[in-house]
Amino acid sequence: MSSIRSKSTSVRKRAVSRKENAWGWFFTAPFAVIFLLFLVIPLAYALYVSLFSYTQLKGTVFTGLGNYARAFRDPIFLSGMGRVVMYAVVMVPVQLLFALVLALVLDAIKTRFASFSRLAFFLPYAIPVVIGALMWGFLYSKQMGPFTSIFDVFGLKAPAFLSPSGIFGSLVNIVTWQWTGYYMVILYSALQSVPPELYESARLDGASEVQIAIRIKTPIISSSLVMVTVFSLIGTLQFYTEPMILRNNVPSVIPPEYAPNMYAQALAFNYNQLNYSATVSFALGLLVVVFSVVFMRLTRHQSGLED
Amino acid sequence: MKKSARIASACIACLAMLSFSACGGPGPQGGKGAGGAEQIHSDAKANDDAKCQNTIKKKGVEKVTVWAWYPAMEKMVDRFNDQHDDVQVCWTRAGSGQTQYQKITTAVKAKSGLADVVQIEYDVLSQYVSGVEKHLVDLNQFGAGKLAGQYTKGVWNSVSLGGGKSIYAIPVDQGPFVMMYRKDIFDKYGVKVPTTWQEYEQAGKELRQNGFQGHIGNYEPSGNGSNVTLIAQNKGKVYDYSASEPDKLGVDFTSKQSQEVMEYWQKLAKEGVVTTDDAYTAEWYKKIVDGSWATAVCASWLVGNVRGVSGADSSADWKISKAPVWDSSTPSVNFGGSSLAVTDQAKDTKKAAKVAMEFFDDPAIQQTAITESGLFPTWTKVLNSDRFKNMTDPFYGDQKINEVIAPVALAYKGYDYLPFQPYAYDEQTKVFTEIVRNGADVPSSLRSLNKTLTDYATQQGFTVRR
Amino acid sequence: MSARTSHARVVDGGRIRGSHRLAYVLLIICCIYFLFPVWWLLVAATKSNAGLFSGAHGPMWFDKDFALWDNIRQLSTYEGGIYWRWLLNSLLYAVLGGIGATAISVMAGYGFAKFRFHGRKFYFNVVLGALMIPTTALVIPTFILMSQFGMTDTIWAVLLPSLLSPFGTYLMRIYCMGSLPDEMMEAARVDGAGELRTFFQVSLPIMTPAITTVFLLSVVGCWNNFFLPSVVLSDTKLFPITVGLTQWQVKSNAGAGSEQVWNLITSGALVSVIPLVLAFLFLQRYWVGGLTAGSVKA
Repeated sequence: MSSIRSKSTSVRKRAVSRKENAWGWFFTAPFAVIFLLFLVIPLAYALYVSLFSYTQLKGTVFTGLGNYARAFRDPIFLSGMGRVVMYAVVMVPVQLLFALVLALVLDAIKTRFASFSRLAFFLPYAIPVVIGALMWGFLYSKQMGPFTSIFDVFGLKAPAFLSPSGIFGSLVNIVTWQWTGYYMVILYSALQSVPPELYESARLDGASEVQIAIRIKTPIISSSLVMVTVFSLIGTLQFYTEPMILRNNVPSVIPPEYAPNMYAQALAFNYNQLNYSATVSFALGLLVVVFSVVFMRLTRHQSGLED
Repeated sequence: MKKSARIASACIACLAMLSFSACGGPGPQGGKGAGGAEQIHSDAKANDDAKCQNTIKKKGVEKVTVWAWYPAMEKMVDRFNDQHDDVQVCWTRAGSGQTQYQKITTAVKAKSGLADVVQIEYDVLSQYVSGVEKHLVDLNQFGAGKLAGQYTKGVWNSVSLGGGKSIYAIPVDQGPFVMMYRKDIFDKYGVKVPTTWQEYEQAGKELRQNGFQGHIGNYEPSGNGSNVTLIAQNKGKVYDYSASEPDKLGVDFTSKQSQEVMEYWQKLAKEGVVTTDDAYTAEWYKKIVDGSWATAVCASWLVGNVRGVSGADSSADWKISKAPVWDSSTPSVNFGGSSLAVTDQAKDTKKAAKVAMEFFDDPAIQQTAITESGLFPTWTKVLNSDRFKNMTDPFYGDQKINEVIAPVALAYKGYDYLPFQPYAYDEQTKVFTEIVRNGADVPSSLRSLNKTLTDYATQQGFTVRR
Repeated sequence: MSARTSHARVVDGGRIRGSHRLAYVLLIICCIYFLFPVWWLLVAATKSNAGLFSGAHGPMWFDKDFALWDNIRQLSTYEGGIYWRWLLNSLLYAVLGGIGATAISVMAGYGFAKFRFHGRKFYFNVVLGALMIPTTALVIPTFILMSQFGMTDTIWAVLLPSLLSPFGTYLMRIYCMGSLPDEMMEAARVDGAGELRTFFQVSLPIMTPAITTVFLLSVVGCWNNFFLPSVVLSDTKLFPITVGLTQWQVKSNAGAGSEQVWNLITSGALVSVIPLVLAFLFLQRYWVGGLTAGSVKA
């Protein structure tokens, strides 16, 4: 890590002065306090609590890593983790591609309709996730949603959005609907700051808009693309709100342990298994960190996360 | 740089450890077995600054905090406070059902913040009085024992966990199992309204043969208590737990009775006689009111709920009858209902017990509970009164519905639930879903459900009765 | 439609117009996709309970009875008008949380970018790691800890954890590194300005676009907050709107003792999204600036 130098340090190569040291800590101290209180300590506490086991008749006893042994053999926890990884594998590329296409299209046509579209795409981001999920819950409903009658017009049967086979796609759709516009705006603004000279010559050479978009514009905004990927990756691995809300519509299709976060909550509050719940939380956190660190390492150059 | 990094991380670790020893880890609490919580408190001033959802007009009177989610609760609380000068109820809607239980769990873990009196449904009561989780006060010491005669047998059995001496809550409402049906649909297709489950299957087929586009009804795999009730109708006792032997419990899904019931619903689902939608969702309510189903076999509280969502569909002619039976010996059953319990965090336990015992002991409040909250009474005096039986309901074509429902409530004997019922329900839902939706083999599915639950019980330290 | 595209860059007329026509079709389809749920909400908010369940004209059109005003009146009276309280709470949490998180991130980002201090590298790497930790995994441990200190069921239980914004810090650091030349700060120091004055008078004005971005992102984060408040709050009067509406949904879904308030859920949802939607549409220009500045210049 020390082989890569950041811009600011390379400018001023001098020993750390005592004054600078003090001011550096002064500016970062409030963050450190909050960081310790609401991240480090809860995390360490989760670890500590997870070393105990609780049973209804005997209460709490120390069991060391017993809970972890249980978690990594617990089919419910493992299937929840598997599900979340599946979501990440599908949802992240879908959102990224969708956002990129929209951003490139909007960048190519600059009419009033295009700017209206940009606002329209972005609108769902301003709606709280809870409310978005509530709305889609209604829309997916065979009885109360519009799809049954829409598909009827074409003589088709509406897909069973809330069935065991349909629920995966339905959840992917909610997340896509909610976040694509936001990612699109990030990519779009990155495109705005690309100097036109970079592709004017290609255009004169007869390159089509599509070619310009793929060959020239996309590589330029790769750092924004990485950033968007990281956002959507982190968001997906924390999957919680959408399945939690939809569960009220279809409790038999979305079990209480659908995602690891939901499992942790069910354990803590419905099954009275706080210690095991902490284990699940901690194991999930650990896996996410590993997942993301690997990704960041691979894309360190584009993301600007090097130091 | 490297060295300082190591020092910094060590410091963070130290700080984190320090903060633990300050607040203490999760130590063992309480003793073994069931029984009321020991803690009795008598701090009349502790609730003076409590936050309430209702407005308390009388100043300087002792307050008792209550968590409940009954509809029209505010009106009933106002009436109670108006009638009492020695105590005022400070009410909060902390959630509904599971969301309120989460708050109870939260407060129990925090060892503070729990209301003095809480609404608890019968099926989760034992969860709060078993093992180390003893959080409800035995109300017998405050004279609750002599109230037994005022309530129906079934609910009293539930609040005393098997009819013992200890009383963990005061019953409020119950859910006698009945059948709501659309008379207009049965008339239109010329089908007789079923009175037995055999007839129910037959009627379901006839309705469809005669051109009815919907179904006769629905089996909800996520129905939790209602599925226990359907099995109980066939005298299957799936859960077995009582206060007299608090360390022991029984799970019996493998009995002939349970199998018969599940095979029946699997058959009806497979034949397309019933649907298998999830219960209590908006869609479920919609299908009840829009005529997708000709009947709804459910607890009586549904009677009021349906009225709430139904539009002015003037063609709908709702009626109520007894739930279909297996044979003449089928018991009257109940699904749902709740009670008021006093917690071990009650600041003034005696006053809290008074509120729990007396809150609904007022004809005006009972009237509001029945007509506005849609609660079905557990008070035998009301159930036996002519006034109650003669109440007519325009939504049900002025039928005297209580003439049908009240006898079911009075005949209900009560049954048991496990001290970890939410877990049992979740597992039950998974297996029942497989059975009715995917045609899973009934005996082996029920065997595996039995094993899952008994394994869990053993892991939690209970002795499983064979 | 094609007439309007004609003023777009014309190099090879036919081809571009063809691909533009395709692009327009795509945009129109996407507009429908992104907007129809919002339209549904708008329509649903004008229906009574009965209208939602068995009204005329289907889910995508208005029922014959227009019940929006009546629903809003009900929002003001149901449970003592607690709905407006929830909306205010959300606003309070979002604004206070947003301001706090921004202030802390701005200071930290500035400190990381402009000062070399002992342990900086380790410290910043830890922040980067924290970027990945799912905040939801922290909720339950945080709750247990808070309950030990009697902090649950207070506004602090919601506000304080929302002050933590590793992403904001990361964004501010990148922005400071890219947009604040060391020479400028040196010049200020040579002129005799102290570090605080340099920070407030020289650096802050330049950081404004990034500050706006971080602020708006934090506001949205707090506004969206659901898991944490639903765990740490019991007092309904402290609920943010997300938790409140969900509680109504649960209540309507409950079996025994349920109350059917679907009309309040839909109209309440509509009213609650209006402020943020408006704020975002009008402020869009201001806040995207910081985001791209950060990502492009890195």
